[in-house]
Amino acid sequence: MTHTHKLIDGVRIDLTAEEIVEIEAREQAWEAGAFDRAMEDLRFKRNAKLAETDFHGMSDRTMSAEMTTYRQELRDLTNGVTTKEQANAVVFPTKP
Amino acid sequence: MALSKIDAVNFLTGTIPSGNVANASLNAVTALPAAIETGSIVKLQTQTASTSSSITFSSTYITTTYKKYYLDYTNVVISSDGGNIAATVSANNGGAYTTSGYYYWRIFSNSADGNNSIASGGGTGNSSLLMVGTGVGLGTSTDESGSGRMTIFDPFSADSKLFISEGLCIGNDGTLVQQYIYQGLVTSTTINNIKISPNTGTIVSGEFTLYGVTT
Repeated sequence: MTHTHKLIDGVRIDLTAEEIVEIEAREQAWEAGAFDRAMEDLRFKRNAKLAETDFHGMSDRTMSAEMTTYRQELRDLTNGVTTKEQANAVVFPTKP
Repeated sequence: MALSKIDAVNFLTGTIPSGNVANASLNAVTALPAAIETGSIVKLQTQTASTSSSITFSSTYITTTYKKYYLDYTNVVISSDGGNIAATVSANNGGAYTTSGYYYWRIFSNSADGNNSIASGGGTGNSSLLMVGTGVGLGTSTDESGSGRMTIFDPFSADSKLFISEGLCIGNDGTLVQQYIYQGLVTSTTINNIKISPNTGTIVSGEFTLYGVTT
């Protein structure tokens, strides 16, 4: 990505060489963290799906075998995921 | 109170007798009387991104005049698929920006999810103030963009600085994503400058407008 300018109060100002180096360093750091972010997002969504079925585990209910399997599949979702591409391609199981 | 007189002719035509008003013609009205409030939200400036690396509102606009600011962002498109836009703040008008220690708690949902599938979470060490594109990143395909508003509470307060971002976008997965992010910066240092930038790449297009809110 070519960085050329910034806007300050609506005025276009060309970036200095130092500013471009700083931006590129920030972008490289961002790229380096891509896998961690993908995993964080994956867990974020997975945990939400687990939370929405938590009530099945309450003491006055009996969890069905299908629900038990679904929740275990959610917990196992991150197993073996080692790349950003794999994390983004994970398909969530269908809730029974 | 009884009416003392009704002018039947004027009642039927809608014509205002010129003797009854200071300006009988709307064209002659050039200003509102001072006693009339002009509104509590004042537009300060709009900036339009054009493959810009960052967009800054300086101390020219962030002043002690207002206790609250709205930063609206509309139809934002960034160059990197799956990225987001975020802001950092400065106490010395851009001399240095705070890049750590932002508290946050976010909640988001996605049109692809089922009922009540809302994800949430937070932390204390973010490097910037999230605006839109978190959880699911902004998309770059045709018609994909993000919009929202950040509320900035009293940047000149001696207490902690608080922010709320509410945004939505068509994300890079093609779904509608709704995001609320509550954020804070534990510092008594005042803020007079805010810089918006994508985490990677540039802001291809989009409008950014800062409003001052009279409280």
